[in-house]
Amino acid sequence: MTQSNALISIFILYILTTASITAQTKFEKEYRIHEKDAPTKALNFVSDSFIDSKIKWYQEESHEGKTIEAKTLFNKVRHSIEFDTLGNLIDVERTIKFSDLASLLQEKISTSLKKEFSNFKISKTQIQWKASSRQTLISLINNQYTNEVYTQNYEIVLKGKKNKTYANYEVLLDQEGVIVKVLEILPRNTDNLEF
Amino acid sequence: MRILISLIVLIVISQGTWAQSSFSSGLLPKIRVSIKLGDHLKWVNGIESRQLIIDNTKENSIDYEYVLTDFSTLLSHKIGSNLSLNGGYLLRIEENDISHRTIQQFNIIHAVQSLRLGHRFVTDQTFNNSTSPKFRLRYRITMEKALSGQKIDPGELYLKIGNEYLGSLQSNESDLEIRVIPFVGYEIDNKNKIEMGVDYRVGNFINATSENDLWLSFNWYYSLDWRK
Repeated sequence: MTQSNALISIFILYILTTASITAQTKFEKEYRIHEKDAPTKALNFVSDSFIDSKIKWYQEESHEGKTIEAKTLFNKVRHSIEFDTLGNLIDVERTIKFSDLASLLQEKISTSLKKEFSNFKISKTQIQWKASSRQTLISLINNQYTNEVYTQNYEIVLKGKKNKTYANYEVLLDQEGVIVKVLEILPRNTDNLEF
Repeated sequence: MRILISLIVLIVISQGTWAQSSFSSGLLPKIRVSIKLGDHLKWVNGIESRQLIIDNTKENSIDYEYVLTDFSTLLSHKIGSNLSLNGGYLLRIEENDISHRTIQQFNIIHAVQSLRLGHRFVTDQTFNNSTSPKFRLRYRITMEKALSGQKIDPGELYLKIGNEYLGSLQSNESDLEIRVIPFVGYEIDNKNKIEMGVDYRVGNFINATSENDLWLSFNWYYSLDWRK
């Protein structure tokens, strides 16, 4: 590799890594769909995972494309399962209190967030599971032990201060509490609630 | 939608049960145009008109009558991601009478799951040549919920229900008015929203003969960014 090629490679790598954690804006449009319009594979996964739970189905359009989402309250805890339009699993998210995370993880996440924001207040925390095996995810949903490989991330919604300005953000962190992605949630117009 | 219809039916039925009360009803269209001047500053202008159709204190209880028009202008300063301080002025034109009102507002907006809640605290002072100054203290809570999905997106209907309490003081006489405001709204796009519903007001609440007003309201909210 010549010196100029090496410099270009370093520059591209720098752009890719810095761009990946620079706050982008979150675009998401979601609307309710009927159960019969959900893909069969998604219906099968949900019926195998959440026995006797009421499921609400949504179609979501975001900067990452169209997805199908099932939301349910299972064992009194909110879960959402995201599928592609063919019904292939993307991830499972479970809402959890930030204070219920392991103390060491709470510290790691807080340290990462303090580097990103001068001040912040967490409003929602979700554990996110990804696995190639559906059975692994079913085990995780049902709090059963699994020795299969899976990825555990954390999705946090917070009000954060950056450059002296407060805004709402969605932050994705890996299992070590390292920030993977920051999305700014654009505020909706609130004139009809204020005036 | 069922909640809205139930509320309207409840309000209409309640009119017949309060023989000692006055009752009036009519139209209350409102337009609000907000202009974003900066990251934290917007200028909000409004026009609102009242037209009376039913008034049971008159001999001809059903008759069209134009009542008044309000022109308002407010500056809104965002002091956090969900807090704002607003101040402004309202001009009321009612036949040959003109009133001037100064307004101070503090707003908090927050989300609870799929609901959006707005809290509005207002003080205002109204002056005109024919009556004593009137001072009011108001609190309104408004709840907004998408009728499809978990949040309101362009092209979607939503439900908005408000409840407001207004205390007033004029010539050493105080009063309390309560308002219930159920609406169905439609977000046309990111800049335009339209809403339709009723604005039910019970005034003279402290005295024996209460005043009941039921306005059929139409709201149009339009927002634009001065910098674009």
